[in-house]
Amino acid sequence: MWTWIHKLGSPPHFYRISARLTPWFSWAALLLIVAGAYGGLYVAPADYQQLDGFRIIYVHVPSASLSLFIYVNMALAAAVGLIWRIKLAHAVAAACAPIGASFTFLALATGSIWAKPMWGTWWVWDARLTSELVLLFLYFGYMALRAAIDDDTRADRASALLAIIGVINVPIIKYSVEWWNTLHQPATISKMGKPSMDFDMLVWLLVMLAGFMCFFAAILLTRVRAEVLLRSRGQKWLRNTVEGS
Amino acid sequence: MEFLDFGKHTAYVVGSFGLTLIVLVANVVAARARLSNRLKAARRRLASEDTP
Repeated sequence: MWTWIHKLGSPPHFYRISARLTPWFSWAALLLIVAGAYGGLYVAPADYQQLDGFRIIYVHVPSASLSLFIYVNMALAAAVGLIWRIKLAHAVAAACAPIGASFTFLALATGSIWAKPMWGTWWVWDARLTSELVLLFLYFGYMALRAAIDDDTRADRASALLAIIGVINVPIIKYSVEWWNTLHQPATISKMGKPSMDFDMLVWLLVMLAGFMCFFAAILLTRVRAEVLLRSRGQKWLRNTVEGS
Repeated sequence: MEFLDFGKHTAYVVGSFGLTLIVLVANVVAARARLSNRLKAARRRLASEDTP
């Protein structure tokens, strides 16, 4: 196991493995997202209160879940890079940021679109929405900090610290609906023992969530390969890999 | 266009799914372009190193 992890930390090995895995994750993502979208839009029954408006959940919840999941991944990778000085871990953290920012934006935008017909407003400054907006700014801050420092090593360390400190926002977002009075509804699928959704609705949400996870994996692997290319300037393995691709 | 009819919430549902499609496609395009640009840059660098 440790040998495998150690091998995966080597840029040439990671580059080869990720090139092989990316198409698998891409096809799985495409199939699952198409199936989940079709099921969510046409197979799942309409909600008795929200009618067809509830179908926004099939894009809102997966993007919101991914926005948190990606941040935790980014912070963990940054911590690994900082503690064990593994450059590939910093590459993973750097690659996570733009993907996470895009899904946070999507969660905020689809949430806002959903809020208008249900709450009568596009936006309220309540705990869940505000903490999710803070998450978007954390992603922007991380990317801006990296871009502002020319030296890769210094950029890696400074941005890793920001990512690790910012992780405190994740439980705040997750539990904001329980800690404060908010317009936002409580968790839908985290209570696996007693989910708040009917199974006919829940199954397509889980399919969509799996599709989004595979999508994230495919995009992350592609972006990490691009980071590895940049960070492996002058290394011997690069010549064989680049000329062979 | 009956398949895009979601009653009084049509604009919100179609808008959300449309925006999601745009964000997903943008992610794919941006990631692939980045990898392709880095590969081209690496090839250029290696070619210039080979030139005496």
